[in-house]
Amino acid sequence: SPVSTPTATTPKVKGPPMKVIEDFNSIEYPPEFLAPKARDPVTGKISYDSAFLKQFQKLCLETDEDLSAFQSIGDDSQGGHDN
Amino acid sequence: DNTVKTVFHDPQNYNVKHPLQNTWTLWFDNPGKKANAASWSQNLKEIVDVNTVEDFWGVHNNIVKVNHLEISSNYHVFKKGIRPEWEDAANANGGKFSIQFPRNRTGESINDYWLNLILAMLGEQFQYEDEICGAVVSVRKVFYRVALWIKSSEKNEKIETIGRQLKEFLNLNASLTVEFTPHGDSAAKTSENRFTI
Repeated sequence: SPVSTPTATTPKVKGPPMKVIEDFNSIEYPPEFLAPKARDPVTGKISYDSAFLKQFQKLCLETDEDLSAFQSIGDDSQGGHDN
Repeated sequence: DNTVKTVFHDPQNYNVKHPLQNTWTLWFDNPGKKANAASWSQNLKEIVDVNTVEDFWGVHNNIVKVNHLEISSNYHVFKKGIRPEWEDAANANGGKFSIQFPRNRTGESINDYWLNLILAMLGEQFQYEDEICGAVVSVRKVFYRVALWIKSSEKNEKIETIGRQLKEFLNLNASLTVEFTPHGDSAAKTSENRFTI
């Protein structure tokens, strides 16, 4: 079969960095999400509260960073004893 | 298509990310039982830098959770350019707030305590954010410890505010105390600069 088998060792390819938001006022957030307060009008400092940040948890599941060296640092023997 | 799309508009094909005020470095170490100062420094490994909210979550969702780390491991999240060591210039005159969580009664909630601390730092929620250097979570046999490292160590209104905010952001059980210790002060247990909140 010509279907290729996915391999676990595919090296991560880091693309060029994506643009970041500069003008938060230009973005209209979908109504079901909290919008950030983001930039302080006086200091220009960017801040986000935790409720805003937690909304990304289920949306940003992938990374293009190679973390393979740090994915075997867990203690498997502990897995069943979380409670 | 030039439309600006955030991850909330299109989780697969977004084209703009949310910048953080600072770039943060995630470090890991597990010096094991034979630790001494030299091996500790060699053991300390930089994992990755993040400077957007999206990149932070991508990494966080793909690394081992704190409650699954081996005993004697530590994660450190510090502002880029500050090494998570007392000797770093930013830490030299500083100290840390720390909270110890008994392991048997904490379990998986350590992941939330640690996450809440990181989110407060990355989101610049501390009133004196310039004071913040970074945070550490340590896994030990009978406890977890979460620590927030700051630049100065003299007890004053600034530092006490940070300590109170830390307690608030972590939503700490009233029975847990936050202890402040100047770095390099372990010998002087009676130091006037130690205090609890």
